Amino acid sequence: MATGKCWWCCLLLLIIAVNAQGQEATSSATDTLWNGTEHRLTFEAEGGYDSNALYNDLVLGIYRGGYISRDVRQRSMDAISANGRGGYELGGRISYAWGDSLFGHADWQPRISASYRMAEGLNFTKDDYHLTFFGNSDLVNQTAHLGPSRHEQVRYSTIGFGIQNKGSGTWLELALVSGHTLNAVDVRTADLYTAPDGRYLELQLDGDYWASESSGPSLGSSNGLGAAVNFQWNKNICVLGRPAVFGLGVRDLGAVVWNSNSVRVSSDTTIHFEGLVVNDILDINNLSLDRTSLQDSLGLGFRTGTFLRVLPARFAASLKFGHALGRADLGQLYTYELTVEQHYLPGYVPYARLDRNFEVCSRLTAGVGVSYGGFGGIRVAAGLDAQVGLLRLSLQTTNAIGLVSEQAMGRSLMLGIEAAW
Amino acid sequence: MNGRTFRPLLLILAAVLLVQACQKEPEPPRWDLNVTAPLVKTSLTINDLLPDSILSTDADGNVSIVFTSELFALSLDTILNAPDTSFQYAYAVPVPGPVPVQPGVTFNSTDNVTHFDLQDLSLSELIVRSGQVDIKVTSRMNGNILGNFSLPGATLNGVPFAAVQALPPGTPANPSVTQTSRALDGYVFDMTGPNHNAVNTLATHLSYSSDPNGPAFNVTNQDSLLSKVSYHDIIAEYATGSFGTRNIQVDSTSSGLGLFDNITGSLSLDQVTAQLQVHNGIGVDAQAHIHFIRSVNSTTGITVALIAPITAGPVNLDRALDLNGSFQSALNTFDLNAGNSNIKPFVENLPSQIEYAMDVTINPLGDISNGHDFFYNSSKLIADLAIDIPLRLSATGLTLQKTLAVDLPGSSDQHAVQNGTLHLFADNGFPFSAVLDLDIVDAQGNILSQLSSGQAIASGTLGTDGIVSSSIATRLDMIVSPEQIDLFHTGGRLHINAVFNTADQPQHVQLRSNYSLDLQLTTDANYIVNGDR
Repeated sequence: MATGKCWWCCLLLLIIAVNAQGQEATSSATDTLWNGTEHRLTFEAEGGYDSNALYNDLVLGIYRGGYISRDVRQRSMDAISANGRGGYELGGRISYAWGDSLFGHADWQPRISASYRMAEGLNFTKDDYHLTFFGNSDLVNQTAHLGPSRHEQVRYSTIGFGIQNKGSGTWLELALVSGHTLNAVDVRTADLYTAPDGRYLELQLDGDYWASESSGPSLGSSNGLGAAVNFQWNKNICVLGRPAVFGLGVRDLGAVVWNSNSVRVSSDTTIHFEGLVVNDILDINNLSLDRTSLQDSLGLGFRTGTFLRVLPARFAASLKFGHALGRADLGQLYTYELTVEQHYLPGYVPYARLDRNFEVCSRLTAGVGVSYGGFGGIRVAAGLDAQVGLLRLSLQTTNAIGLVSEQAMGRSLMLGIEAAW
Repeated sequence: MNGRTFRPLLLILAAVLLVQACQKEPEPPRWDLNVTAPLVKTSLTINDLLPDSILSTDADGNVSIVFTSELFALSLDTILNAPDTSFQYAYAVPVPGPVPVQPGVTFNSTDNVTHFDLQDLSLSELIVRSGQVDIKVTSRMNGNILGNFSLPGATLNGVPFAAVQALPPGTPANPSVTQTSRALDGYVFDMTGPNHNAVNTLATHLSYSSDPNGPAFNVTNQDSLLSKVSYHDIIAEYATGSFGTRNIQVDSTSSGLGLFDNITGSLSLDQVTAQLQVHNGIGVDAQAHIHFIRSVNSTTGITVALIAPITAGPVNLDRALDLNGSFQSALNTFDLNAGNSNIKPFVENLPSQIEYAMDVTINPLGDISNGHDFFYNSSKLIADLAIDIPLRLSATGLTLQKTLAVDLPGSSDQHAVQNGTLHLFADNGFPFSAVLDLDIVDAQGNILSQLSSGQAIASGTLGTDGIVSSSIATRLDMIVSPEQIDLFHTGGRLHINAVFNTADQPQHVQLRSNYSLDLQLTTDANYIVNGDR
């Protein structure tokens, strides 16, 4: 938590410093941003997961299937200090802005976008991990602390309508959100005691669980509706006497009302379990063991109904400074870029990244960087940016080592395509 | 930089997509867990061990088994089996002719009777539950004729049975045939005939007339009418009369008891009483000659024949009471106890079956009811053996065996549970110990592997009054190897052999309704997540 506060303080200081210098530099740098093209089509895709504890061999083992050895599981457990964090984000967004004016304003044009996103975040205790990957036999006559822990897995798509400034690339959108699936757990306390010989299990539980309707097999089936705001604000400023661009962006700031078939459990109770009660031990084959009856017997019965759940919004601030690289009409690059992000997902801590970009040739830029935060720790970033005619293509990873090593943590890849004419 | 720069990247991307598309369904991730958890718990009282329907508890909580087994039942078809019966009536003019017949003229009318062959039964009245009469008329007369068949002695709600048939013209060379069927359900047959002085006799009437709306025609002595009346599938709802003196043989047969199934060993009971209860729902006096009643233990092969007054001589059975529309069975009871029979060893033999043979004589003293014997369709002669066993007993090596199919999730190749140890915790409040043998057996009962042998659940502690004063806790551990888990997945079944011995032998101990055996099964198991997928 202290680390998170530190990053936010740095961000605040940076914004104040940049604004102090930017007051005088704005007018001179405005036309170096997007050069005012009338059509702009952008496609962004990203996929990646990260963790501060789970090595790639474990995560990929879960993804690929098959037996996961004890050594692999043990190595990740050894990496958990107090709490583990992890998550993934996978999605894409396409947007299009067009026209030479909007309602008589020559600098503005209409904009539409569509996106699809899957995201999962979790933080967990070491005992959570132990129970999941090794069972509770090692914890007999002990209390396993399974909380506080949180998990959220959500899948949704959006359609947005808004306006965009041709010169600066600043834009604002209101989006309709279709919620597809949701699974969320917020465990404030979960202390599990295993009695010797398994005579009983006792769980002190204080937590909530939310889930969308489980039906709807198709990828796009909607189980909830909502709204969100997206915006990007870019400002030309001057840093250390040179033009720079400061940007603030928010994606998916909104909420979804999940439909009436959604379920939730809210429990603050102690569960004492001594086994399933049977009437005839000699007729155990007739024992009914389904999820519903077990939940009911444990007092964890579902409640169905609508509820509102905030989307995993993303907040970002960036500062591009140094020498300008590449073409201005496809988004100006600079030799340095500092980015700070926070995503509203469990396990995600403030993320900061500093990139150094190099011009390989007139149309190709390469970059390397270092980052810290998000779901993971310190990471090395790398990227390529190419401008070909009307197109700009970028390929980046925030975790260059993880991309090639199973002994690292996390793996990510981002693809961007932008066309302007 | 131009488009060629990206061509290798696109090729790599296409190759990756192609490989992904060709991959088969991914197998789920698997890892093993060591799980320590309770599985099931149960509390067994005597009500759980034996069906409530046969248990009786007195004010002190002492439990008895009150068990009734039906030995035999004689139903209606034993008494009356009405055969299908047919009668023919023929008519022809007695002169050479031709004789003219004008429209609307009755030219033949015959009153007759039908005699039913009911063997020893002499019925004066029969109410038909179901049955049918078929009337078939063959006409060789060249005119339209109406045939009228009626049964003056058969009425339904007071209206006699009548059937009118239109007979089309026929010739000796080409006769016409007309057939009709009528249900007799609910008809009351007066079986005393037209003069009310006979038995098994039903008055009939048959007449022929020319169609009043048809043309006149001529008949000769070559022309004829032939009626065939068939009664079939007659089932009686009620019958009365004299049923005669008859002997009904009940061949040696057996009746499954079900009470001691799967139990072997030695059981000593403090006291047993029984009662032979014969319900006579038939309106006849009867006398039963019980040749034998035997207790047969099919497991040990031991047979104990009942020695009692009812097997030594004839048993007289009173007749049922006719309530005019219903009946009241006569209950004839015969007590069996230690003073007049060997009922105790008879029961201690733990019979799986009761064998018996007997014959029943109806009206052994003749027609003493003066023709008022009766039966209803639901009348039966039923004999039950009711056994009262106070559960004050001494059991030595009393063995209960049961084989269970164990349905573990997964298959022989892939299953989640790998191996482990089962812990059975017993808190026994019954006055008997139990030695458990658990084996894995094949479909033929051959032992494939042994899970537990000779581990004992201790008996509850008996007080000076012979009542359990405190329960005793016992723990049994059973190690289940991976090979034994595999056996369950390849058709192996769990065979339980529990040997019970009562405490304080050879004294009898009383079982009480508040005694209980609390069992809890827990496990330390190695479990593979997704191992059964």
